[in-house]
This record gives sequence, C-alpha cells and structure tokens, in this order.
Amino acid sequence: MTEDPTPNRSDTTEMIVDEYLARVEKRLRLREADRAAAMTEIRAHIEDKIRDEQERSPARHRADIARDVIDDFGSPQDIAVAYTPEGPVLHLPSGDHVIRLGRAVGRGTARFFKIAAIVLGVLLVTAIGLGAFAYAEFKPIIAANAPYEVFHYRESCNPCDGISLNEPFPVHSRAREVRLEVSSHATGNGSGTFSVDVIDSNGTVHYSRTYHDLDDNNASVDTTLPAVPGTWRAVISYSGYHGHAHIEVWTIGLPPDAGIWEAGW
Amino acid sequence: MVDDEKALAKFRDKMDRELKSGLVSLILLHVIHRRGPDYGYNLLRTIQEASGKRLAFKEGTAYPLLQNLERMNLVTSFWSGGAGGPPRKYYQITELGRTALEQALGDWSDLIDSVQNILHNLGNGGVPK
Repeated sequence: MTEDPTPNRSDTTEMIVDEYLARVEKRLRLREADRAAAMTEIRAHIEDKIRDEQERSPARHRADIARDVIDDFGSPQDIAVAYTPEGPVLHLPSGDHVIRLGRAVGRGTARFFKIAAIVLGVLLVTAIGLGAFAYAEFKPIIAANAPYEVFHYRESCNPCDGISLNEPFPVHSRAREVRLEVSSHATGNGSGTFSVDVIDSNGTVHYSRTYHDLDDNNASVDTTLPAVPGTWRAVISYSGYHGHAHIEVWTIGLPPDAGIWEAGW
Repeated sequence: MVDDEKALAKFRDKMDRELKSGLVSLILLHVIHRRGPDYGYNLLRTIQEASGKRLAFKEGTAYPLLQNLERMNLVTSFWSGGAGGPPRKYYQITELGRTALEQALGDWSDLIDSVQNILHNLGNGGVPK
C-alpha cells in the first residue's frame, strides 16, 4: 500500500497561511527584530481568527476559512505600506501620497549619502593606513635612490663678458653618485666661449669643458660623477659668449635631514 | 452612465478613507483603555463586534497603527505566551495615552457637533437638484 501524496486539508491550510506570511515578511521593510515581532503578532492573529471562524462554522473547510481570513487581513503590499513610518496609506487623503513619496525619496537619498559617506570614510582611513605603511616601508629605499638638487645655475646674456663664477655646493655623505647636467643655447654666430669646471672638496677636477658657440650650439650633457663628500665648486666663465647657460647638479640619495617629499623627481 | 458610477464609487471610497483617517487610531486607543491589557486580535474583534461589523478596514493595517501608538508612548506593550498557543503582544494604555484619548474624544465630539450644526442649519431634507 502506497502513501497518498495529496496533502490533507489541515496541511493545505498551513501551506496557505505560511505562503501568505512569507509574502508579507518579504515585503516588510523593518529592522530584523521588529519584523520578527510583527510576524509573530500577525501569525497569532490569523491563527486565532481561523480557529474562531472554524468554531462558528464547523462545516466549512478550514482552507476556505484561511483564505477569507487572509483576505480580511489585507494584501502583503497594503500591510507593508502601512508599516512605513508615516503609517497606513489607506487612511490618508490622496494628496498625501505625493508628500509621502517625496519623503520616501528624501529618506532614500539621505540614506544613500550616509552610506556613501561611510564608504568614503572607510576608504580614506584605509588609504591613509596604506600610505603610512608604504612610507615606513619604502622610505629607506626612496631616500637611497631619490635625486636631490644641490646646485642650480641659469644665465642668459648677450654677451656674457665679464661674468665669472666660483660657486660652492654640498655633496652629503649619503650621496651614492653626483649627476651633472649642462646645457647651452648660443644665439648668433659670435666667437665667444662658455666653460664649466666641476671640482670636488679635494681639488680634483671631475668635469671640465669649454663650449664654443659655433661648434656646440644647443649642446647638452648629462654625466655621472663619483660622490666625494664635502663642499664642491662649480667654476663658470664666459668670453664673448652670446646665449644661454644652464647647469644643474643632483646627488642620488637624499641628505640625512631631508624628507622623501624633497626628492626632485 | 458607467463613468458616473465609477466617479460615485471613487468619491465614496475617498470619503470613506478620509473619514477613517485617524479614526481607527482613536478607536484602538479607546478600546485598549476600556478593555485593559489585551492583544491585537481581541482588540480588533471587539471593534468589529461593537460596530456591528460596519467599520470595515483591513485588519492588517491596524497593527502598524498599534505600533505607532506605542512609538508615541500612548500605549505600552508586553509579550505573554498563550496556553499552548503562540506568544501574544498585549497593549495597555499609558497616562499620556489617557490624556491624549480624552483630548481626542473632545475633538471628535466638537467635530460631530460642527457637522451636525452645518447639516441642521442648512437643512437636511435631501440634496436640492
């Protein structure tokens, strides 16, 4: 003998009620605790009323009674709307629907911005944390490899006769190398010259060159010199030179008292 | 004719809703006051029986009204388990609720008087064509 798979009337009633309550619960926009309390209250009401109606009309099918009770209770949509903060929409004049809609939109917008502000705050804190971590972690590497300007000279004259410079600049103990950049741009076809000598603290000349405007028009050089700590000098002189002279000296490696933000990338 | 019937039905529906606006809350508060602590189903059954089942509204929309009364501190609630049944939420009126009820009933009485005065003074022998 096989079991009858058809649910009995009582099971059908339970299914009707459970299905209805599930639809109500799905639509309720309440905090979890409030929703659970509301659902307990609604279930008790429906079960009480089904029981009372069954006692009044014992001949009626329980499932039919359940359908009537659910109909009296209201649609899940109406109940969900009634649980909104302004109360049941069914009891409001129709003009208030617009006000309610406006309020709902306003609340939604405010909630969006609130969540956005929280997310941005979290991202900002995370970014600051990562930045601080990266700063601590990579500071030694950056300090050892960052370029740091120790000398900068720019002149533009026509002619530059009479100018002669002997400028000191420091090469600190943490420097790994010294990088020199010289560029010139002569104007016209004069016969002047422009010479640069770079000398370390021991008097050793590491770079020496004379630029002739006719030969070295737009000349540019970028060379690396050994890092000898101490006070270096850049000696620059002109003779009938017409044009522009630009000299920069960098150390690779920051001085001990410099922050990494002073790196001259 | 069909349009007229629709318009009349719409008007009656609108009137019905507007007249009930706030009224169900007042009635709920009154019933809670008269019956003492009781739970939702009993309160609503009392209203239906006392009104001769003429005050029709969807019962599900009354529970949010009870929640609103509680939020306004006009009623308090507590849970109590039924004998073998599900737990039920009992509502009871507060001092503030009694004061609010007294004022609301006064307002309601004034409103009824005003409406009756209007109907009386302008005559209530039917609507002139």
